[in-house]
Amino acid sequence: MKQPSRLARFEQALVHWFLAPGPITNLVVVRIGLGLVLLASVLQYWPDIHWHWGYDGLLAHFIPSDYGDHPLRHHTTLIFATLGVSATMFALGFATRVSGLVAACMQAIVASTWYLHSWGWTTTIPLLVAVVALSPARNGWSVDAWIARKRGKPLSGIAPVWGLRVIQVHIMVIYISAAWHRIDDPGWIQGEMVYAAVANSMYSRLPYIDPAAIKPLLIMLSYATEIIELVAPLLLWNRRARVPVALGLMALHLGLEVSATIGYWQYMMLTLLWVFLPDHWARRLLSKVPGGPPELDSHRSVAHPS
Amino acid sequence: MSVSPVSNRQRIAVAAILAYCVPVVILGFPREILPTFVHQQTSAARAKLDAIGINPWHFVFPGNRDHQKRRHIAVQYTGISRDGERTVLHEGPKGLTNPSVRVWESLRDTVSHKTISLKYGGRLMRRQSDKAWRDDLDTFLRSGRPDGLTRAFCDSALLHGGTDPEYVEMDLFVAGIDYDTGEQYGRAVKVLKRHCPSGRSYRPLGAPEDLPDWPNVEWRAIL
Repeated sequence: MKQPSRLARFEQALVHWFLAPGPITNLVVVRIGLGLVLLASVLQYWPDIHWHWGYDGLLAHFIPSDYGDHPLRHHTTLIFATLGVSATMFALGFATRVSGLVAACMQAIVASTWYLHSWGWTTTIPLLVAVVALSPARNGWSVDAWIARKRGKPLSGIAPVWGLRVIQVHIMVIYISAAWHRIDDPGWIQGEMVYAAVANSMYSRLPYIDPAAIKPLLIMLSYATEIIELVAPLLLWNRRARVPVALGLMALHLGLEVSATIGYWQYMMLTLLWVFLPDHWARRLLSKVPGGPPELDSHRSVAHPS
Repeated sequence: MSVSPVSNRQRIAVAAILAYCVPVVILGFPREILPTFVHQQTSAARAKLDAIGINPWHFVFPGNRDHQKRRHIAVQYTGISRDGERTVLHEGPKGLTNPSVRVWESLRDTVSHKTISLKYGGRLMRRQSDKAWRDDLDTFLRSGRPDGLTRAFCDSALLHGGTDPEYVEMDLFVAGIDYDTGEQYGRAVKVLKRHCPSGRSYRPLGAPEDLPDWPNVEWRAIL
């Protein structure tokens, strides 16, 4: 029998990696989490949207040449209301593809107005929401799946894993990008950056804490952060290391959320990191929510391909 | 070893996914990893995507490192009417004093901090030397940001609350912390006063009357 060529084997492996069937559970967690992040941001900003983005607001007068004709200036309420409604629909899985793409576009419009209102999550989230919207994340725990079942055409809980893979690639790149600039940064090399962040009232959740008293702990946390972010882009692909590294990164983001306020970055990352965890963990998380596809019970995890 | 045949449909699907993932990875790489030519091309693409609100790589702090020794920063805009009545139009954080625990982020506080910017505000918080501090204040003034911000509070009825001020003053409060000794040094300055009808601005005008109640911060005179 003729041996398949190396190219054919590579092609087959690539197809398997992106298109092998797998449970949709982790994508569902990501869909719900990202939808809630966008909704929470709209609710938080709502009282101040006109002060900042409105026709006569700060941006219109502070940066008139850049913001004068921006759509958000002329349709502030409409864009934020559309973002809030579409994010809610996306989290519920109602018209998931359309609502997700609309939410991604609205969020990109908000993010394109300078970053004065927020931090890195604002511009990172639109493409991720778009990817999840186009993926099979609507196939379970969603209004779409409920409607499909009522019509006698149930959506499958097992689908090609490409959505999961694309988000995994995004996360790897996020950590490459975040970790690399620390390599030659004196603050990181000397282990001072967590101290600096905790001491800085722009970020700190506890602005009056005395950072000098807990300096050794903050130095240790600096190095721990640096190390895990540097190794994450490699070890997240290692079968044995994947779960511990993902949990370590989740602990890192939880720690950052406890000590600092930088918008919804931590919540976004805590949500996204689910794509590296075993899908039965997500199934357990969603077990109290009705609407899970029955065929998931017998399928093995694909976040850990052998 | 046998290999199941790959269909054309699968080939097209994977090609489409790769056409997305490969640029995401390349665009996400730091400049030091990429060849100069690729970096130049990718920088242009990233800038365009950034302008439309998309930066999925979270490209952070390029050329804006060394963030040590920051502590507190606050800003206040005061409107002054024709008959000299003073009205605080905005201050961030409110009361110029952070609560001891911040549960939720405040949009207006974030905006106040970031209009001063990480670049200028960060330097002003860090510097202990009087000369370095004055130089940084000059750089901040030359950046045009104080001018643009006071203009906004002059021109926008939403921001000045219909008070139609004759003048708008911008006050800045910053404090740094020495990493080794824990010493905290604060400085406060009236950055700019703008005459709204003419648009003329007046540069540093001494210290504001009321200083924030920041624990352990020793306020230093502007020399």
